[in-house]
Amino acid sequence: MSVNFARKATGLVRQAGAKDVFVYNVNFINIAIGVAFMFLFMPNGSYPGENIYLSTILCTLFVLPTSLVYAMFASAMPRSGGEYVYVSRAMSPLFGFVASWNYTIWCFFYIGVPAAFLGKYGISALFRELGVNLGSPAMTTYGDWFNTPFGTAMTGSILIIAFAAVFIFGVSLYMKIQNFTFVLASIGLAFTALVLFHHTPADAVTHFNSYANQFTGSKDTYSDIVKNLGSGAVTEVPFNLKQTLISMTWPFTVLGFSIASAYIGGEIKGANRSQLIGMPGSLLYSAFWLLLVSFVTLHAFGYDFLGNLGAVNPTAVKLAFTPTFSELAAALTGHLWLVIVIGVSFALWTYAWLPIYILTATRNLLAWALDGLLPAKVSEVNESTHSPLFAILFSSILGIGFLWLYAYDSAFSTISGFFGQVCGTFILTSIAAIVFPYTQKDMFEGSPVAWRVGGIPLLSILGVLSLIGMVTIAWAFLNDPQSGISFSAPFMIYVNAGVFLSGFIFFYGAKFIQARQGIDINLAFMEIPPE
Amino acid sequence: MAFGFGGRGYKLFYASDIHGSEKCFLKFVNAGKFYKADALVLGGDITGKMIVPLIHRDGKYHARFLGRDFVAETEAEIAEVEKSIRMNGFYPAIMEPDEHAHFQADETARTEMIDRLVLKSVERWIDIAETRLKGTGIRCFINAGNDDDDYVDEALKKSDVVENHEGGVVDLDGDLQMIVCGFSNRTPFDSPREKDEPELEAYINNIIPKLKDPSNAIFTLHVPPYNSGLDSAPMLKDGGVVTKGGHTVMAPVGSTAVRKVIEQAQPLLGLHGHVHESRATKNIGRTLCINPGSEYSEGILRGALISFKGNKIQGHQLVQA
Repeated sequence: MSVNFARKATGLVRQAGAKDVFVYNVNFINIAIGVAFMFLFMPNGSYPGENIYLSTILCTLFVLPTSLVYAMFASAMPRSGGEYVYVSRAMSPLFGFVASWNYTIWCFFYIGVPAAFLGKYGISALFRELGVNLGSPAMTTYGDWFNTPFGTAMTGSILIIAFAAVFIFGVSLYMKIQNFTFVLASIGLAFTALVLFHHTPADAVTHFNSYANQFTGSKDTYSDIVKNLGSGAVTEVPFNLKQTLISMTWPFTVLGFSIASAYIGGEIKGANRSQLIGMPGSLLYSAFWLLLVSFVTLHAFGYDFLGNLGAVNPTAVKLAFTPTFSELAAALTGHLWLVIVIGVSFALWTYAWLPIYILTATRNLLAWALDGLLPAKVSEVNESTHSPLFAILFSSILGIGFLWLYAYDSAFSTISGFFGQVCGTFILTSIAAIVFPYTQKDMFEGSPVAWRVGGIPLLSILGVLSLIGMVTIAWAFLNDPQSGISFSAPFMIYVNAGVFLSGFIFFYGAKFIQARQGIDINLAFMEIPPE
Repeated sequence: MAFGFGGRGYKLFYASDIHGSEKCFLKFVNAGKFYKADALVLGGDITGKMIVPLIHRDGKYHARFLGRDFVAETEAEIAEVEKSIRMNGFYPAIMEPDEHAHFQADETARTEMIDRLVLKSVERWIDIAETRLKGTGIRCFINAGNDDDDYVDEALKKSDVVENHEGGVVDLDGDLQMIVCGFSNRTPFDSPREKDEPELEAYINNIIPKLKDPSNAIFTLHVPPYNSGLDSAPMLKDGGVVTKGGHTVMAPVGSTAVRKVIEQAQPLLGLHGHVHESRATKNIGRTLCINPGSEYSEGILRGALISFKGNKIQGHQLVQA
């Protein structure tokens, strides 16, 4: 065994390990929102013949290569910045910036969206659950308000402002809050799963009717739902592979994002092992939980009930808004403490994307500013709080703008932004993975992931698989009647294309402005030949 | 107007903390021609942190670094592995298994061996710099940092091309002058070149009076000013790094002495390093302070281009070469 000899010198600069990477990514993946989306939108008849389990498993298999590509890149280039670093070095600074720009613009959007989820799915349901259990119709009415566009936008704005304040006082404070809320949310999800597991459709529907009776006034709300749907009522039909593939868009909304730790790659200790375990590990762990919670939800209520609940217009049956799996679980228990645990923990899950998107967007803004692509002001760090004040405020204000857009414009109340992240960022990163071992031969050969299969770099092989996976996901989005993006309704295609192409315009614009001041932005990225 | 455009003034390229990466050093030496710079400044921490033995066993040479095993048999293969080790900031050392065992067991012998190899490498780098820069008109300033032992200073001072002005003042262009200090404040790592804050302040304040005009000077001080955003490093507790929720807790680790002398003297420019992950620029009063950060382990040379006209900074730009 060869032992190397170290000098006495200043030490490691990398800190977070595999466990930290795992927690960070699982938090970002957001299991509970994933399950909520899946049952709100998958069994409602939009994908006749789809299989929820197979859809989740296939989605996992399609995104796994992308997760591994990011993990291997993070191992080869253990720096913060994600694709901004990877694509810049593998392809060119222009494409690196465009990939990063595209992701960051959608980051701003997804600062707003989860903020909306808090009111729309979290607090509204919690108030209704408490209203029913405490016999307080007023609380139920308050809950309905949180689900209105104004209630959603107001609640979300307060949440974004609160998080901006937390980040201004430092990441450390946020991490304390995150650790606490993550544990609470995870325990609550486990309780939710346990409650669901102890019921079957035979009694669960009765519980639901009894629960809904408090605010619909009907003794058999489920029958009202079925009657309202008429011939459109959902029934299970034979398996259909195409519909199963198309419905992958819903598990993708969470499973596609096991890569959050790539953006803090510079802080990961033993990046090779940590990222290679942490990224795909968090994906597989979350996929397992999605399958498990899906199983207990279907076990409790059955496919037809969940499909009809998702299909019906909630106001037509006096539901005000469609209950998520979490609220359905709360409806099954008469214990107030359990209702609180289920409701509060789900509310904590709803906005989990928000702070991580603020962090990612802020870091990307800083990196661009240091490279001369944004004014230096953006990269300034406040001496009192040690936080990038301007970048945080900028991200938060944009996030609030997108929140209101999401709340009031139905075109943006969809998952079409994920399509942009797939096409504009993940596909570019996949291509970068294919070419990296050839364009940066020395860096690849010197990296701990210079593995080959049959003489071909494994990273290139995974890049090809990732490309296939992402193109398949993009195809699913374009064919999904509920994704909000398709060739037949192309508005969001234009928006996505506009976001992507504006990256090129911004890059060349910044280059032009800097050139007028004597600064050649190309120099920021040009490699000096060592020989 | 600056950099590669017309009407240019005096241009300087600054980098720091390359920690033995030969690839970064070769890029540094070539940076003068590449950026059309008048001067190159390498602000300390030039030596690496680890010796990688190539152990002779069964007619082959075995090494392990970057988490991988390397086996070399022919001279060309050995040279290739040695080159790869040097490019990544380590020092190769061919040895027999009994020598390896001896160095493992005997700390004194191990330290002597490390010092010998580090010094040899520094001398080799000086030769490279002399070969590539002699007669070009590009001045090359290199000073030691807190991670560099005293013998590095001595080696640097022997060169007639590489200039080491540790603890002193050097004239650059016109009235523009530069002072150099490679010492840092205390670190938890007990590195070779550290001082207590009052001692560090006194050391720098002893140099400043030698300047013609401190307000028209560059302060090349290895450690960045305290709480400047150029000095955010992982918080340490009981020898470990503090993390929360997968995130590192950062804290300022710069020097209060450096901050104080910059606030008082208000030089034109502060050039710093030391904290690799804290790539940033910051104005302290009228002084522009720069820490270009370091990515030596990936062979990326992070640096800064600064151009001067008269007694003003014309422009600055962070680069990653």
